[in-house]
Amino acid sequence: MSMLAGFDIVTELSNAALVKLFKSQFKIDGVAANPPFELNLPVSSGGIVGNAHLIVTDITLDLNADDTVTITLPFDRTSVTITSPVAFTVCPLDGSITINAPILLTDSGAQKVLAVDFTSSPVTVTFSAASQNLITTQLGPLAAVFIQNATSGLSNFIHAMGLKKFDSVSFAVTPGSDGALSPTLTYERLEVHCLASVDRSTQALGLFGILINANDAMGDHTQIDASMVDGSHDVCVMFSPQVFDTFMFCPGVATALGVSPTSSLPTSCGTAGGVAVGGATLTSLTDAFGSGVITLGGSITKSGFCYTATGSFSATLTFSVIGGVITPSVSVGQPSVDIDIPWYCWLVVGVVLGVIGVIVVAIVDEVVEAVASSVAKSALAGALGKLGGVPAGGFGGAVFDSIAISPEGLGLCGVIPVQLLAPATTSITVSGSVTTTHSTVLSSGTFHSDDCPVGDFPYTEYGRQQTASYQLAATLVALPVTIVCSLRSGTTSVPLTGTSGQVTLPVDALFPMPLPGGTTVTEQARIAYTISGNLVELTNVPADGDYQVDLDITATDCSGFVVTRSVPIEFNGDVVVLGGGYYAKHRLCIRAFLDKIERERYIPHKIVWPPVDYPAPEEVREFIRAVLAIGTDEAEQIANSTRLAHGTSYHRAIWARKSLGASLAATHGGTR
Amino acid sequence: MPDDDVTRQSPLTDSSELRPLPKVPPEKLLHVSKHKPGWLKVDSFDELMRHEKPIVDRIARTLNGGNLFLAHPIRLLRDIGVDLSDRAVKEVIGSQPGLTGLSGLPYQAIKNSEEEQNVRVHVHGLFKRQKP
Repeated sequence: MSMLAGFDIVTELSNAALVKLFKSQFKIDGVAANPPFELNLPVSSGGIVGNAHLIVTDITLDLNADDTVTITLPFDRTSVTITSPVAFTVCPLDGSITINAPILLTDSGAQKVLAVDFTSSPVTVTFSAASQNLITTQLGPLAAVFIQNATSGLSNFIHAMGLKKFDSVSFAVTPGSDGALSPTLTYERLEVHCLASVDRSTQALGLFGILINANDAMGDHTQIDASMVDGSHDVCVMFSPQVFDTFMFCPGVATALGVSPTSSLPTSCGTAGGVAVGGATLTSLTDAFGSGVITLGGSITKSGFCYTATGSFSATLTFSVIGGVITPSVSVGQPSVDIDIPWYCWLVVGVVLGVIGVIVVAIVDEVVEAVASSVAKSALAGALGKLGGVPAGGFGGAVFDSIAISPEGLGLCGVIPVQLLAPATTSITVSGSVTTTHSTVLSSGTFHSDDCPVGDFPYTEYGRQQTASYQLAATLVALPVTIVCSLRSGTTSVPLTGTSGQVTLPVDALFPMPLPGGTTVTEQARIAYTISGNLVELTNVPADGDYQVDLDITATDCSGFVVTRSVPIEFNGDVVVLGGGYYAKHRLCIRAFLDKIERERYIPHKIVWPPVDYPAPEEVREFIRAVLAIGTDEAEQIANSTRLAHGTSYHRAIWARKSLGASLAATHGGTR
Repeated sequence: MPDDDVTRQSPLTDSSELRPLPKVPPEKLLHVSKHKPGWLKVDSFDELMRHEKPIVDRIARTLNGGNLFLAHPIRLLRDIGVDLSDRAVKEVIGSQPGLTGLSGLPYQAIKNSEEEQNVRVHVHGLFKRQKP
């Protein structure tokens, strides 16, 4: 069984890795294919015009022996709406779409990028038995035409996608010249082929590369009958021994021995007769791939007074991967040495042996370290090409966790962490706000404040007409969707029927007058509404004061699936604005009060005054809670003045506690 | 009786240059115990050195011959068939001060081995010649 089939380097991406790639990089009509996702596809075929809304629940790939990929997209709660020649909708439908498209390398600037060609890819739409029954029930004899045209329309859309490039999976290819492993993986030749298998976990996409120009005519991917990936890895890379020699071993040896260029090394890396190393001469250095080990061999000569010694040595090199770090391990055998002496040289042999042993160990250590560094650099920086440089959403760098040596080459396997965006969930999103459309002065005068801050301040009371505009959008629901809105206050809920009208609801309204404490009134608030498509608009009556209601939305899709959402709506129809520097003086007054309190008693947690600048409700609540806990009349006055200073922000704080179920109401009630 | 090599004696010098030794494949090397005694009778140091070339060649053809020679030259010479007289032994030891500390133990260990040593010593001469 061949893994390289004559190629210099083979990189295999597992089926699971490709699925990750599709989920992160593949878009259909601008929508990321990260299930579940929804598609709105036009249907136009045979005079039938309409739209298909699909909810795709999964994506699976199959890599085929003819270098095509079969993309299967199961769909559910799908609807097809035909607008011409007659208008009707068929829903809910479920089934699957199967697309069979060639996967290939194509040019993208100076790079080759992975791509899938949808131009003429066969598309099959399969409806479930229940969906077929539904279609037949609704369309009768036209069912077959419907299915045919739906399939045809979808095919047209898929074909129009053309050649989809995965720009993040790109490679440098320079035909006719030697490539490189690092710093950028550069091929002399690169082919992409599928390694098919019945078992998806052993299917792989193979990138078959030639790095050495002299090997250009080599390589036959059909000789590979099984993949390296085994279901536990996303990627496997195998280098041939020649690649190891050319790009890792020999450069590593040259670095270790301080020799440049590589051809200045002795055989087998270069042509020099020898290179001086530590007082000896290294006359050869070779490597050989075995099962689990790389055997390094070398010969060395050393001569001196009274002797000439020729030694040969061997070492076994293995690699392990721990925590993604490639670590070499070397075992050096005892050197084999021939010592020639011209006459009886007493004691010289022992000395020579010791010297040669030290030199051999030093050479092997340095060589192994440099080679291991080269292997690691090649594996981590270059082996996957640009796969390692994709930002979040695409492939991250591969993390290798296994390494294997065989007579065929050096293999690395690992995983590719992919940061996928969180898939969408079935929901209703409500976006909008409350804006003041008209403001009227209701009253004005002078507010005499006996509390913090003491003084006379001009005030103006405004009546504000406000409109709450909210756009509704449903995600992952089967169209058409029936939306029912209602307004709720406490336990009373009133539906908003039709497209417009007015409803009344019992609310606890707040009025700022009389200053500073204002008034709380339980009343029937009047709210006008209009519903236009997905836009809901609610309008208050200023005389009803300040209050909050909840807008409840219930969406029921065509399959009967129900999604609900509730949004608090706050109207402030009656507000007071104080002049005369009231707010600045209030802030100083509060600060002085807090400083005084902190001097006089132990306060476990610093009390923070929320500035009058739309603070978060919890900040206001926390402040009032902390001030009231002080338990003095002055503290109660401070809490009261806070209501006046913060105005609508205070209201939000009070209303928010309703939904939180907090105990502020009782506490506040005690201060009034 | 000496073999043909004895008749092809080459001039011996004190030069450090290495004379070529017969190239013998490892499998053709003869274990030291296979040599027959009485190959060469030597009665003096000078006579021994006159036969240096054939003796060195015979050592080269002996498994671990150089190693055995370094371990105990006198025992090796006798084992490869050189009959040294007492006088010759006395003159050899007298001419080579380093030979006084010889031990039979490493010699026997090498002799017992049936395999070629990792470190192979190739002896190109026997002893340093005495200056006239």
